[in-house]
Order: sequence, then C-alpha cells, then structure tokens
Amino acid sequence: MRVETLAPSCPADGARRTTASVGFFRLVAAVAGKDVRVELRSREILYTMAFFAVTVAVVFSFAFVRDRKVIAEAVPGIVWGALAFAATLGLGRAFDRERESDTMRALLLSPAPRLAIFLGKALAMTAVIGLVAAVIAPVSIVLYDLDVGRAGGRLLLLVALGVIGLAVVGTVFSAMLLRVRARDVLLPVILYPLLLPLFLAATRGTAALLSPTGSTDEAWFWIQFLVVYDALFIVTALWTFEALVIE
Amino acid sequence: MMIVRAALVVIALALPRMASAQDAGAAAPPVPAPAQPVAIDPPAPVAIMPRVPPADPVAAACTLPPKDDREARAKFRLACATAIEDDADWQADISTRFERQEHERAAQAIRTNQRHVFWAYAFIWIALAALVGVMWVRQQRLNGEIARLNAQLKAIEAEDARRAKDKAKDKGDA
Amino acid sequence: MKRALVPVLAVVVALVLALAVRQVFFIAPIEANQLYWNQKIFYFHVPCAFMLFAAVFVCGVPAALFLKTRDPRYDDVAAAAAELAVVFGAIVLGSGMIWGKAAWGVWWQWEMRLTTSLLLWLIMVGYVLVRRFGGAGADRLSAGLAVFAMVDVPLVYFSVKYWNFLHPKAEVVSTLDPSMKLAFRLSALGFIGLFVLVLVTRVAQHRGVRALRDVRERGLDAGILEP
Repeated sequence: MRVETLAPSCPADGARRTTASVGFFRLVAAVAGKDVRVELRSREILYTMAFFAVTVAVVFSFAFVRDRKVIAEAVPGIVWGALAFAATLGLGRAFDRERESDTMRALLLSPAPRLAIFLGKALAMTAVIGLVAAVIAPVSIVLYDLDVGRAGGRLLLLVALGVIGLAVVGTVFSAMLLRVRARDVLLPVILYPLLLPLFLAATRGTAALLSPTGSTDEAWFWIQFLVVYDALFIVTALWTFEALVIE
Repeated sequence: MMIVRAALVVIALALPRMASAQDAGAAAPPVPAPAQPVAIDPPAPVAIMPRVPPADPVAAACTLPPKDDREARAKFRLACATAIEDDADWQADISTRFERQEHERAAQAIRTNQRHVFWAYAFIWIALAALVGVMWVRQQRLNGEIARLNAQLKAIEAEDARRAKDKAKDKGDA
Repeated sequence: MKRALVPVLAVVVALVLALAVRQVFFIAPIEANQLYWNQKIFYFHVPCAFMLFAAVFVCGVPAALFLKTRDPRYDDVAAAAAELAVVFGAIVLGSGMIWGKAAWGVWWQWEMRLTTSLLLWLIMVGYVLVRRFGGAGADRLSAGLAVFAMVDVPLVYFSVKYWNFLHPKAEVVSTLDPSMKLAFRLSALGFIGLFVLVLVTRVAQHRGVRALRDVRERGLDAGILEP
C-alpha cells in the first residue's frame, strides 16, 4: 500500500518513510489479528475467563442478597470485580502461551518496532476482555434485573473505556512479568492498586447510569475521568514499554 | 436423535405440570383468602394528670410548651432569647450556671482524646524507631559481609604469598 | 563535606523534632472547637502525609531515569524512596486510624485523605514486594511500576475526591493560631529533614550492597573466591 508521495530529490527516503508509517499500523493489526485468531481458534482463554467471571459474580451475589434480591447498590461492584478477576486470569494465561511456545522472543527479535508489538497485544487483550464483558453484561442484566434501556449507549462507552484501561495496563505488566517466577501472584499485586481509580470510576459511573436516581452529570464526569485515565496510561505505557520488555 | 431425546425430556417434565394444573383448576373450590388483621391505631395517650396552667401569670409565661407543639416552642425560645440578650445580669447568671457543665463535657472529651493522641504519637515514634532499627541491622549484615570478603581475600593473598615463597625457595635450592 | 552530612543532619533533625514536640505539647493551645486534644495528632500526621506523596515522586522520577539510562544509582534512590513511602504511609494510616477512632468512633472510614493514602501505600507496598520476589529483572519491573504509580497519583486524588466524602476542612493550616502554625512548620521541617536523612543513608546502603555483589561476582568470575 505505497502512497505516491515521492519527493523528486530523494525518492528512496520518501518511499521508506511512507511505507514505514503505513507498515506500523499494519504490524499492529497483524499482531492483534494473530492473537485474536489464535484465541478464537481454541477459545480456551475466552471460555474459561467468561465462565470464571460469571462464577465470581454469582459467588459475590450470594454475599449481597437481601429479600431474595441482590442489593442494587452492590451490583456495579460485583460486575466490575468479576471482570477484574477474569481479566487478570486471562492476561496471565495469554502471555503464558507466548512463553510456552517461546514466540515472545521470536516476536521481539523480529524487525517490528516494540511499540507495534505492544499496541497489537493490547488491542488483542482489549478484544478478549471485551468479549468477556459482552458475556457478563447479559448475564448480569438477567441476574440482577437491570434496566439498561435508557442509558445503553453511555453504559457501552463506559464499559469500553474501562476495558481499554484494564487491557493496556494489564498488557504492560504481564509482558514485563513474562519470565518472572512469581508472576501469577505478582500480577494482581501490581495491577490492582494501579487500577483502583479505574474501578472506582467504572463502578460509580455504572451506578449513576443504572440507578433510577443517578445523575447523568455524574455519569459523564466518570466517563471523562476514564478517558483521561486511559489516555495517561496509554502514553505512559508507550513511553516505558521499550525499556521494560527486553527479553 | 439428540433433538428427539430433548423433546421427550421436555414433554416428560411438562406433563405432570399440565396435569396438576388441570386438577387444581377443577377440584379445588374457591377458598376465600384468610382475613387480613385490620390495623388498629394504638389509643392516644391520655394524660394521667391533665396539664393545668399554674395560676401565677409569670410562671405561666415561663412554662415550656409541649414537645410536639413546635411552633409554640420556637416562639417561646425566641422570646426567652431576646429577653436574655437585653438582661446582662441574667446572662452572667446563665453562664455561671452552665459553665460547670461545659467544663465537665470539655474535660471528658479531653480525657478520652489524650489517650488517643498518646497512642498516635507512640505509634509514630515506634514506627520510626523500627525503621532505624531495620536499617541498623542491614548495615551490620553489610559490614559482616564485607569483613568476610576481606578475610577470604586475605587468606587467598596469604596463600599466594606462601606459594611464591615456596617457589622461590625451590628455585634457590635448585 | 559529604561524610559530615549525615551526622550533622541527624543532629539538626533531632533538635528540630525536639523543638517541634515542645511547641506542640507545651506552647500551642488546645483547639477548642471540636477536636480538642485530638488536633495535636495533625502536627505529625500531616507532614507524614506530605512525605508519603513526596516519596512517591522521589521514587518515580529516578525510576523513569533508570529506565532511560540504566544507571543503577537511580535505581538505588528509587528503591530507598519506595521503602520510605511504605514507612511513612504506614505512619499516616496508623495515626489517621487512631485519630479516626477518637473523632468518629470508628477505626476506618472511606473518606478522601485516608483512602488516597491507602491507595498510594498499596502501590508502594507492591513495589517493595516486586523488588523482593521479582527475580532477576526486579529492578526494571519495579521501576516500571513506580513510573505508573507516579502517573497514577493525580488520578487517585481526583477519583477519590469526587467520591463525595467528609473530611475536616482542607485549609487547616491557614486558619491556625500563630503558635500552632509554628508547631506545624517545625514538625514539617523536622520530617523533611528526617526523610532526607533516612533516604541518604538507605541509598548508601543499597549502593553498598550492589558494590559488594559486584565485587563478589568479579571474584567468583576470576576464580579467586569460592561461592
């Protein structure tokens, strides 16, 4: 896909520059596509994550039942908590696969820039976690008798932003922990304190959108907060990823 | 085959339900729902001693209206407050009267808080002391490690020196 | 000059803290609105909270520099600062909980300052754990965490702030009696000095450990030393 913007004096440089920039995004798409395709083929992580999330949600629901209904205020917390645990599980497992088949080293040895690899992986994790969220959503609507109709679009936006934040931060740290022995336990230790503001915003936003007394101003505030959160952490991740993953 | 099995299971589960529904519809005569207990308000409290305003008009003016009569209470309080503001002697009398209570209350608050302040500061000093202690222990360990390394190096140097001397002696002999 | 820094600073800090304690308990008046004696906890609690925030940044900036330049001296500073953040965070939370028990009757309440401190403290504890159990690349790993933590600070602050909480009004310092202000300033100064003192000492220790490890490795490589 070469764009014909060759400068007359240095045709070679111009061509290299344009192919490089187009090539970057193609690389990102290639990495992301590979991960998603591998995952969809076996669906191991997807099924286990989705089932785990639903199980966790059910377990927590039992803790918060009153008069045969789950306490309405507890629902956003339960749902996001379940998503968080499932995401940690999935992140650990996704990179396990890379390590087992030693493809991470191959990926890093390839001429692809690290950034492209990171973005591709983050995109793939977003898709996977997003799919899990897509499973939890109808399950929780049914289990907790949620009335979503009015605020459907904003809720979708909120969930998307939350999932993106989860995926980006999770990808950075699980890539870093690839060769560490204690990675299963260190990933939550590192991830959860950093992600607390995201969960705070997500649960408050979800509560504001779902409850009949919630204010749309509050919901918009939290959505904007999540935008800022995601932007800040994506930039930080892009800056530090090169230095952090050198296998 | 699977579909047929599934269908059979569904039918098997559904039949008894349909049967019992029919039975219930036909057999049971309509039974009136048990009467709900009617809520009866508790009787209004009757005053044992009816409130008779005292004969003295001054005392009457100073009688506190009953608690539920909020408006009267508010008016009463306002009247008393303006009266107190105008009368300096009364103010002095009131402050001496309630000073002791205030003092007791503040003293009690201080007594409880003192304990908490003591424990908070104690906690802070203990934490800082623990920090210094841990650093001291680490430093000792570091010094020990350095000493051990030095000893090893010294032993190796002594060994080398001895070997060199032996070699020189052999050479000297030969 | 450098060798004299630590002892001199230690003496100065001890003096300042002693003066601060005297100012707090013998000169500053009791706050007579609702906190009474309890308010005296603030003279140490608030400077420690400042130190916690400062430590997170003193950890994050060298961590970023370490990631960029791979100079292990930056890593020493980051590690020392993180340990200090854990200690000061524990002090803030502990004294805050004791204050809370006296003021509100409960040990913990999800109010703004306590929650922010808790979140930052948890991240720094994570740093220390990663350093301890992270294996070979632990310094890089923890440096990455510290950078993210530094970026996280304003996010934590704002998310918790708009969670709607009650806290004694933020502008405690400006409405204070002058002797209270002096007590506050003295104690803040004392704690800054203490922070620097402990940081310098701890960095020196880390450096010593690293130098020792390097010497050992060189000796082992050369076949001189036995493991």
